[in-house]
Amino acid sequence: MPEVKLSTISKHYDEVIAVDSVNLTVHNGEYVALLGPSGCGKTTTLRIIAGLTLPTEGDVFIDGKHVTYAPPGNRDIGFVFQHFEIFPFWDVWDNVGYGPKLRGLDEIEIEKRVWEALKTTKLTDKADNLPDELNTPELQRVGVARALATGARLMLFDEALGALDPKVKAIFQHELRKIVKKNKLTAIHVTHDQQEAMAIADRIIVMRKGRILQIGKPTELYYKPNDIFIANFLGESNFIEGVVSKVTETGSEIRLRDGSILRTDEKAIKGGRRVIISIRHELLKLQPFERFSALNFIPGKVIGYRFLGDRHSYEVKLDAGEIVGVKEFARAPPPFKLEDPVTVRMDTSLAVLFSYPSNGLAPHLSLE
Amino acid sequence: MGAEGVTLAFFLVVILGPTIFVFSAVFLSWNEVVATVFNDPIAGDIRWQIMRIALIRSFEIAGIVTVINVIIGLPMAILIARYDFKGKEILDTLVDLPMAVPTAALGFSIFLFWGSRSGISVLFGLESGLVSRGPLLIILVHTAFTYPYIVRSLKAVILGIDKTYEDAAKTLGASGFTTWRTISMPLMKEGLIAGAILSFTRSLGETGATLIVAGVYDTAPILIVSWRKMLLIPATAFLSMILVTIAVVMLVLVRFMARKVGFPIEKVWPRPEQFLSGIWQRRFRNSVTIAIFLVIILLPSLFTFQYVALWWNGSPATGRFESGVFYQVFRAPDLKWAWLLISLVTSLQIATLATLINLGFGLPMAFILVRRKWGKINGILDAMIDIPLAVPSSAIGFSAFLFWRGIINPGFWLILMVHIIFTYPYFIRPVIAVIEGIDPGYEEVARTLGASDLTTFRTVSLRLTGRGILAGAIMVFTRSLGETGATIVVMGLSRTVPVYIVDLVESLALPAAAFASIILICISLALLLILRYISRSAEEWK
Amino acid sequence: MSPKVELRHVTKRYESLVALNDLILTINDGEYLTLLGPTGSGKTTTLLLIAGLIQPDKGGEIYIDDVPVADISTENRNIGFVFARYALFPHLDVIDNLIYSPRVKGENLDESKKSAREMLELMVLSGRGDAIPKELSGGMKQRVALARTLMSGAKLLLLDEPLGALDARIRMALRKELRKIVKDLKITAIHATNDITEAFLISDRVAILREGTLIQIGTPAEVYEKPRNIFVANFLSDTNFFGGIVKSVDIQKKSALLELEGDLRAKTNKTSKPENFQIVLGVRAEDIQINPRISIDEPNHFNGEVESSKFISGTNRYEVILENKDLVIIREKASKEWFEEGDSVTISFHPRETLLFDYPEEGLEKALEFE
Repeated sequence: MPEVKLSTISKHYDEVIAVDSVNLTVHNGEYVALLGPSGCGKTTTLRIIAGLTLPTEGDVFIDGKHVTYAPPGNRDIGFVFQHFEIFPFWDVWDNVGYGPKLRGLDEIEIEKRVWEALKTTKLTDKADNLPDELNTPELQRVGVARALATGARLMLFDEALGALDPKVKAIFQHELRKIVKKNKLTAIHVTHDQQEAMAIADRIIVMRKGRILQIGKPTELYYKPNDIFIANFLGESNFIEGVVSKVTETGSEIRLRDGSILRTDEKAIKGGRRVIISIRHELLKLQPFERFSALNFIPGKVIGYRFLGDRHSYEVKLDAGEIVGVKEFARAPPPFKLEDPVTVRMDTSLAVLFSYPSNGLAPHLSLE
Repeated sequence: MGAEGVTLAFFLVVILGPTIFVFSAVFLSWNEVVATVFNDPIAGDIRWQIMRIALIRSFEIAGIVTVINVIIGLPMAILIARYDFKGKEILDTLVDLPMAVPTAALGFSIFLFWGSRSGISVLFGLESGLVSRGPLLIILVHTAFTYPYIVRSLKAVILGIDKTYEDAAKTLGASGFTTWRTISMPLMKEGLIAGAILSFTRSLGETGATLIVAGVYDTAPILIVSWRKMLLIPATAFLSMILVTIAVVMLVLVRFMARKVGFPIEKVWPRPEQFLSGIWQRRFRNSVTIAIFLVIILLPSLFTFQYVALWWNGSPATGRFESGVFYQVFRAPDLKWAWLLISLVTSLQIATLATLINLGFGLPMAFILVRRKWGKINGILDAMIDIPLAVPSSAIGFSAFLFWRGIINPGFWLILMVHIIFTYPYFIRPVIAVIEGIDPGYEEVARTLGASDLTTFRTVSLRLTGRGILAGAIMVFTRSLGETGATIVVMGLSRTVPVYIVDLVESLALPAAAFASIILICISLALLLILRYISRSAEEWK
Repeated sequence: MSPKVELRHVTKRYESLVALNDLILTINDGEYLTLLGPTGSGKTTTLLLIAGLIQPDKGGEIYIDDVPVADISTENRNIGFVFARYALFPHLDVIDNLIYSPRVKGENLDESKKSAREMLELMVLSGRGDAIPKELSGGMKQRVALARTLMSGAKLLLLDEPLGALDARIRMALRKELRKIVKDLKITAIHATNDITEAFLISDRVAILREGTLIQIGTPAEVYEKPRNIFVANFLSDTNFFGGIVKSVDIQKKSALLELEGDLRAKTNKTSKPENFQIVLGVRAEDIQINPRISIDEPNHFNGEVESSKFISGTNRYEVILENKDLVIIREKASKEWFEEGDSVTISFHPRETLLFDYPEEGLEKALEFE
């Protein structure tokens, strides 16, 4: 189970800096996601690990060995592409057997490897089919089987599930993770889909504009983002403006624009400072409007409602001015109608406080 | 690196060098050139005058032919590329036909159709041909054999434009005609120019058919041939050099100007354009297009078959058996059938060798151009590949003759060297297109699975390009079979079939010429059909 | 103002492939309808037929505002079409793309340009008028494509997976904007997608297609809570299915007892199937409660072991393997406590929160396959 280490890896194309001084360690047996918007450098980074692209500077180590300039074939990797690249002139068996054959294994060993790979990816009854006889999900599996059959211990997935329908994609995400974990492989998975990253990874590496912004477990990134961009990129979040009105040993109080007060456990930001509170949609709850005012109970009005299957999604305009999203998990039909005045109860224990950015909120809310 | 060095050396020494050798030949013998062309003691500068006129004629004809071809070829390209109808495959194959027919045979057939009394003039009850030898006949011949080039390249361009753009325009309210004018044509611009250039240079350089139908109307390639026969080497060299220079300059200029050409989109005429888009107008336009194709291109091209059938057992007018094809070829005392056989063998040998050599040295070159990233050098190399295409084949022939003089003398081997030169781009261009068409992902996968560069090439790249390469090889073979102009310049005592046809026509042995043409046409046709079959199945692996 | 669209017995065949099979569908004026289904289910074909870019097979008819459109060519149907890859004219800049429609219809050049600039402001693209499509990001191209169709003034909008080429997060942000614009302008919209959340968020009604056939149509709540068959239930949510038979029915008490494969007992409030009838019980992942193992012998309570536990954007997703080897998927809102792999648990669900279906002829596995 190899460990992968990137040491100040950079990649320049003329004036464009695709990857900017990236340092990264992926541990033995870890399943890691490289997550970020298009153009953030995640695919370039993966290709540098694979040896399909050479870095402008920096070093790549796989299993302690310096492989920066070694050809991909010598790095013992399995690479799965977004568009599969299944050789159209060979059937499934020959495609999957190509890797073992190149490694010079004998007939019996090749057969064993291919069968194992086909069994793992549930393709045993398609071994004799040609690629043009298979549908997209099946081709996807062949790509994975082909990588597995090489016997490589490091798997690299480049938006490998990108071509699949959402339902099939969701099933595959979990299957892929199971396969990697069961075979005790190390895997690095590039995606722009934060739900996918959460579903498959032990740790997520968030990239933007060539740089790594934050690395952590899904819960860490979701509840403790270190940047407004990450809070906004990893699932939807509400951003409410306020000013720190009081700081105590146990936390701070934030005064919103309409005078309502939110109380949070965070106490890092000084009094009088302008802040942004980031709070997830599902941490808000709607209650019928009552005229009292209390901490973390904010008045507003329902301006939108959508049924999303397993949850209700409301849009509420706060008296403080912001429009917030509320998601409630419930089977019962919604008790609130459009235009109803409501009180929004906010669970601030998992809210995040940011200093109001000096260059304005917009650049941090950009999804690119 | 060794293999690449050899490939590049081959290109420079065998292809490029001989092609541009005229330049140095002219400069080295400049005094002689001046003496024979400008200051001949007897003729003064008459050769210069003749040269000028011939050049002007060649360019005029090429220009007219190109314009005609764009006008009649564009609707045909649109018809085949965008519409589905019964018999489309057949029409598509028929359009390619003139390309498969060696130009000498084509020229002869068209001459029979328009210019002899057995052709179309029969319908009018005339005693002689409808169109006599001269510029008009040259234009008809050139139009016929450049037509497929234009239609093919326009068809490829149209197919390359995503149909969704045209759909989008329609949903926004544009009629069919408006969509073409404002969306499709601008997107086709580059391809249209490329097709036009191809047509122009083909017309400029064609020799074989022109020899047959020109009569006394000398164009530049014809002049090269006749001066060569008269051994006026310096004058021929000078003419070749001018031809090459002008052709290359034009190529560069047109490519440059292509950027500037725009199509007016600011102006709209909704009502008239809507009228032109109507379904009956479209049907009318398509019928006219097909009719023109049949009458001006196809029927004249294949007329030889009718002629041979008519004249097989004797002259249809006098009934004399000895005038018939059968007697002339097989029974006449000069053993034409034997000469035909010998020249056929020569043609096939040369074509085969040229194809094999191109495969060996052209294939690596194509891969170098596509896969190696040498920056600016790639661009220059790529542009140089096209030079033999732009230069008229008789000029190439002459330049090569000078280049190899003393080392290889006129005859079989010099013919081969020359054929290699002008078929080289015909092989490399389609092969480059096929290689570029391969998804680089396949090669990357192979590398991640452990394949070395060579193994990747052998097991993956070659499998994916194989059919395209085969198609390129067949094109080379066909081109070599049909070439006339350059061959005449360097043939010495050897004969290939096209050249033999020219000989027969000049000695007025028309029935025999017709027979030889048919043999050549049939072989080329068979190759064309195989080519189409391979191209079709190559499409499946996109 | 905004048109109504009707498809009557519309079929489209390509050689042996049936892209659409006898489709009968009405889209009301001013409605936002989504065509939802997997790839190849016929969504794009339907849109192309309404647009007139392809023709239906003999026997099918399409009406826009009660007028048959068979003889009306695309350019005269007054529709807007947003293509999956936008189809922005690459040789024209943004403004020229926007004014294309008014121009080809003969409208004044200066006025069109003025409208175009206003449209750019509306789409938050001011200053981008001179850019060519190549220079724009995916999200920008999407907005220009939408703006271009709005400039045509068409009141019927057809959208073919318009957000499909965008990053997942940008997609989430743009779909709300899309609905808002369409509703503000009182346009009838028909939107094709394979994304369920997108369909629910954006539409008034959802039409579910599978292999060219319309399976079910209704509001998001209707199709989600009353799926017509196993395919719909499986497609719209993570539903767990158990095969079995009806043991007893008590119509008055609104309760039926079921015996499921693997010796499991279950209770449901759906009483429409008779005793000894072969059924499939469906329970959605979000309707199952997961608790530490307790000893209990009640229907709807099953013991098992957690095989996988994952936090995904505010929810916990569990895969629990039951004593009879069935695999059950459970989703719940994330909280401060959660279960780990290997934990022994008891899962349970309320009889109300169940779905009952006939056991499918082709077998349960086949019915759940995704093509």
